[in-house]
Amino acid sequence: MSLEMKKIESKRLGDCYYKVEHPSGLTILMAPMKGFSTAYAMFGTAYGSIDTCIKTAENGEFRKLPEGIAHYLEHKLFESEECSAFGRYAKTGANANAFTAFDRTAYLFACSDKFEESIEILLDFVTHPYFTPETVAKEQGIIGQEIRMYDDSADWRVLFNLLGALYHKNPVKIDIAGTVESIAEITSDLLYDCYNTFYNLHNMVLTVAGNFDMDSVLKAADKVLKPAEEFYLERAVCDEPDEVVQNYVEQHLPVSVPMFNIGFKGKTGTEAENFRGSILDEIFVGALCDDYTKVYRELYDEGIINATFGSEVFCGRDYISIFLSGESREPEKVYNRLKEEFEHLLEHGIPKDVFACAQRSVYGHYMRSSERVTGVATTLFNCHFPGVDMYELLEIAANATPESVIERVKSTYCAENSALSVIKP
Amino acid sequence: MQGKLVRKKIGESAFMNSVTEPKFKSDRISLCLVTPIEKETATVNALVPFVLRKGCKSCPDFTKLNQKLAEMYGAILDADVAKHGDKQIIEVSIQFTDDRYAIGGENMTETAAKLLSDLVFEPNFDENGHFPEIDLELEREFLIDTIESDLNDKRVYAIGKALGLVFENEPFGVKRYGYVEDAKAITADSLSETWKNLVETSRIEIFFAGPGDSGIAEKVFEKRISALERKPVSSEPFEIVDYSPFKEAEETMNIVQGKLVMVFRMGAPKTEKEKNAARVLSALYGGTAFSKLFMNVREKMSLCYYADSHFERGSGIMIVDCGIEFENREKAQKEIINQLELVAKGEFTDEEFADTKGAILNSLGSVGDTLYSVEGWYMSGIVEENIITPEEDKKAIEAVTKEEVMKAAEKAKLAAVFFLKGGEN
Repeated sequence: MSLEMKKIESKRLGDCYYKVEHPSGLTILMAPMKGFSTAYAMFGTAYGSIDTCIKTAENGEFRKLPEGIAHYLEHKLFESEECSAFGRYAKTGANANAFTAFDRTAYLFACSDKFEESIEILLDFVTHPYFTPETVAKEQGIIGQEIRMYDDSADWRVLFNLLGALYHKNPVKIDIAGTVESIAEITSDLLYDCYNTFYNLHNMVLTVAGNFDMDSVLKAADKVLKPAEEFYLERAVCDEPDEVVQNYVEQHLPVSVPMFNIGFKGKTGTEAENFRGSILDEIFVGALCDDYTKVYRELYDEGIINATFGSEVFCGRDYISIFLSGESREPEKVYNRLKEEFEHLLEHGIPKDVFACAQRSVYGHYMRSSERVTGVATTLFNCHFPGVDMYELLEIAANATPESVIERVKSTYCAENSALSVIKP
Repeated sequence: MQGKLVRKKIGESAFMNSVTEPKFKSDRISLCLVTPIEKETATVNALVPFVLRKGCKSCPDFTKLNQKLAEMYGAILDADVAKHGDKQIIEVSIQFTDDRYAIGGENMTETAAKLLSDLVFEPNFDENGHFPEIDLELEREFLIDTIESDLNDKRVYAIGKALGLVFENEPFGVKRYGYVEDAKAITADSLSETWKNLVETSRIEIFFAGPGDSGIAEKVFEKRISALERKPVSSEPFEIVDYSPFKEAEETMNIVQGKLVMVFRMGAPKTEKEKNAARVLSALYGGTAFSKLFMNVREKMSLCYYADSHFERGSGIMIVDCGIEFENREKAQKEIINQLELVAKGEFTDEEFADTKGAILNSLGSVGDTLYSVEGWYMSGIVEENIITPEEDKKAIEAVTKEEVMKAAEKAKLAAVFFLKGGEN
């Protein structure tokens, strides 16, 4: 079978990747990288912890799913009637793993040898579910311990407390693994139901980067993948207000110094708008409080932030926020100072020299991710569902201006729609 | 010599190491001061990289320094202390976009090397020959927070406690960042004296990795180091103890998941052959997703989400840890011991054995694919004064026999158990 292979290039980087629409319905993105020994593959679906209310037929009704089921399904997919996927990978030496995020699930492996066998295992086990009441019951204990591990994790709690303070309805505020109670509702029938809904190849992507032969990927896809049925899925739209639930939330846990997360809640656009906009937001955050700014210096010299201070733009299908985190004995002071600076920048614009620092940093970050096999496969994966070309990210950073950044941030954020989450000893 | 380590003496106990790799888009230079780890000096040594990071004669202002880095396309400057066996390593590194990707064709390598050299060898001393007062104050506070932050991650905390039991009076037991009481006692005099002493007496190892011209960096460092007054002190490596009396401790904390840590003495593996057998043992026992601990403690008994083992070459011990329900402690501990005894009796298949080696070989095949792992690989060989390539290591792993692994398991003796449990403390 000869398939159309579209080549996508970046002149700036001198790199390229290839896109294939496989007859099964799966999109395959491949970036062979010269000189590297590792191949890294990710096979995943646009299904994550936030998909808790869905409709699978146009005239059907919305159904609620137990919290944490996407993550449970990810664990159980590794099993089959004969042998676990880990047992099969053991024969190839590949280092395999999987993760469930808010709006996606991915199965992945890295290897420096026997790629052909590993890619076939990956495609095969993800497309062949096997759940029984016994195997489902067995996982309750394991995932129960995973949930408890996160309950004790201050990093995790400070983030989810923040999400709870920012969002009224958006299921992004629900813990990815669910709760010990919610996962008790999960049955093998429900897992099949979710599997058949979300693991449709039209809703999935395969990305591969590094040292591999593209023909072997296509050969494995031809061999393993059956044409997918037609795909219909509607997710309940939550009508999330712009305002936050509360501006402050705290919890006591055994930690040495208080930890904080600050969130500026953005108005969501389409998934693609969020994704493209997040690059400009990153430049804005840099200009707001990265280590080359006056504000950072003031807070640092006052001793109320330290080298753990950092930022992140949190974005997905129907949510976008700016997060700032660190350790501080006076987190309220940090929060208030950053809110003031946020408003100041929106009103007075970003000084040219500060903008140059922020833009170059973001540009350098995306450029460096293109020199790592994992970075390339992950970026291809993350860009697919929003429908953005991977190389566009670098161009957005390169073409940004102080005005375009301010315009974007003004239309998306308001300093008041924000919250502070603190973990105290 | 593409991809191969080139090592050259450029001064009294000072070495330039480089690995040239055109496939990368950025370069990384690390400057390491290698010194014996001692309880008395560990804390003040750990403060040195934090104050060096704040500025230098040529760029005394912290904010200007960060601006300069940002303008270099977001160059990353790291300053930290590491522990490797009986050595403490003060490391300052810079990672930057290679000349080829600089928009204006700037000579990035020379700029970065000069900056790194200035930061380490030309600190921003005041008229009394001290680091600026404010840097001492702020970074000493940050050091104390860092020492205490072990508490934030209960897994890290529990492992630290278990190692404290095992290595009471050995250099391996000295904490990476030292001790709070010692940090409080650091003065402007003791800090600058420590810096002088480190620059004068420690082994200097410079590591360059990337597509750039390491010769440019070499010239910069050679010139600077030749101007230093060097009186390197050589030290005898610490003899690893074969066994020590069993110790046990428990601690109560306000947490929901118990953390069990078991430390095994391996009978002081001295030869490379013995060390490699212990590595394969640890992987077979609890280092993969098809290992004994994973398959039994997690999959069969559903006791935990993780149960891992890890062999430390430098100190010759094996650490096993898992997160469990408090009441499952006895059950888990018994099974962990049982699985090790089974391995000692040779109750593992040829297939499991071959698969375990396959997993190690596969990961060794990826060492050359990130700047960070290239540096990590060679620097540990350099510090241990036993430099081998990943290919040579592959051969050594392949040569390990089943009998050697059984022998290594037989020699393992439980030296300490630490359990962190829930409740009011």
